[in-house]
Amino acid sequence: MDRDVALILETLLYVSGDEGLEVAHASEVLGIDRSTVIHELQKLVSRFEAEARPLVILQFGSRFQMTTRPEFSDYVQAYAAPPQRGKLSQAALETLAIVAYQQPVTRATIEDIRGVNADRAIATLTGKGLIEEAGRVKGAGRAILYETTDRFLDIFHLSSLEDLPSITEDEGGEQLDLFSSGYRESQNDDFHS
Amino acid sequence: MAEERYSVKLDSFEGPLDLLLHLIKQAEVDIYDIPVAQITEQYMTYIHEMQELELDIASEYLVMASTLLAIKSQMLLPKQDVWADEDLEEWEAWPEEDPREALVAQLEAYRAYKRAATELMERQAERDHFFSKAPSKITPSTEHRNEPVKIESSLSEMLQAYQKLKWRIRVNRPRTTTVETEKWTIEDKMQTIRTCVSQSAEPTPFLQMYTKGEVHEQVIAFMALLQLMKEKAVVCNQGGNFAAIYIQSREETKHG
Repeated sequence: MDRDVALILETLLYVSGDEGLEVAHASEVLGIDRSTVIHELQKLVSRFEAEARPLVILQFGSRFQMTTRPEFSDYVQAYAAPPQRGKLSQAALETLAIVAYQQPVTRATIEDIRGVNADRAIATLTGKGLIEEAGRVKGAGRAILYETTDRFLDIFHLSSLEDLPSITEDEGGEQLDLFSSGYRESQNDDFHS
Repeated sequence: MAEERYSVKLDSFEGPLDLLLHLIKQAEVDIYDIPVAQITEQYMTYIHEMQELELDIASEYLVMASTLLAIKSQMLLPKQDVWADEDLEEWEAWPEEDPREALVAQLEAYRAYKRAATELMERQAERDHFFSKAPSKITPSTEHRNEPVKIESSLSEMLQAYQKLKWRIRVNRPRTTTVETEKWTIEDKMQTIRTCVSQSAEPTPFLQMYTKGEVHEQVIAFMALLQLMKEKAVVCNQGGNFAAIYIQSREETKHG
């Protein structure tokens, strides 16, 4: 049975390609609960690694994706010349970084930090599916809250938000309060959203 | 100091904080001990430079300028005396700390996120070495096919889908393109209009000039007309709302 599940998951990973295999979807198809799916997929990740297969499995949020090994990227590029991903502007990148570390976050907070209007950057990032609306602030104004998407994790090679590089430096001695905000809570129901 | 050259393009800053960080770095001073007078002066020089170059100065830059000036003037004030004066109630609103504190915190936070942005960019470059294939095109199983499909997509999901679609089209698009030679140029059209207008004694009806040819030609002709109007070579007249528009050579109007 276990072996079968692993084989089926590998098949689904192949079929889902760069969209990634969604844990919730796989659990529905296989009729087993999500935590088992995640567990099985993670075992598959290790097995691919241990057997040194030409493919690896990446996790980003609640999705798993089968990709080639980075060691062979030169050959892939020589063979297929894949098109370059569009680079984000500095403004969009800075905005994205703020959303990533502060989420869920309002436009006003982003603007306070960057000192400039954030309308365009937010529109770009939403359009590219890197951030999305995550409800509204309770109380007056009901400002929109933004958070990053699984696609963000994929494109920036992060398996989860815990993977975000630390951006605090020792030099000032003052620690920035970047990790205190809400995302840890949302981690827990990552797979129910 | 006065002869310092601006080696950085003025419009390349991402906002007032970015500019301030640049100035602080250039002055090689500690972010926690900014020489406000010096930095303010340089900041104002940049603002003036922007004005001279007729760049759009976003209001954010001006807000920062006034913030800097406020901090500068505050630091010039003899604190103790002012504090002792109870009549000056408004001064009580000022925090007792270093007036630079809020700005420093803002700069520090901004610098941290700039660093994060750089890190993200590096990770993105790393990610580019992993390749995956497009999802397999598989028709949904018969069991599901006849069920009415419920679409419960949010706007951002639709946008994402559209982005993916665009991405796929871009990936699948053949790497060739057809270059067509220009059939019409604005210059040629300007000449045609000029000749046409100067040869006829009567004003030329606007419609006559634009209802023939391909859309592309019509657009070029229209742009040519606008250019001629800008150069004051022709004048357009219209009797009233919705009345016909006539094009006249400027020369004729002078004579007439």
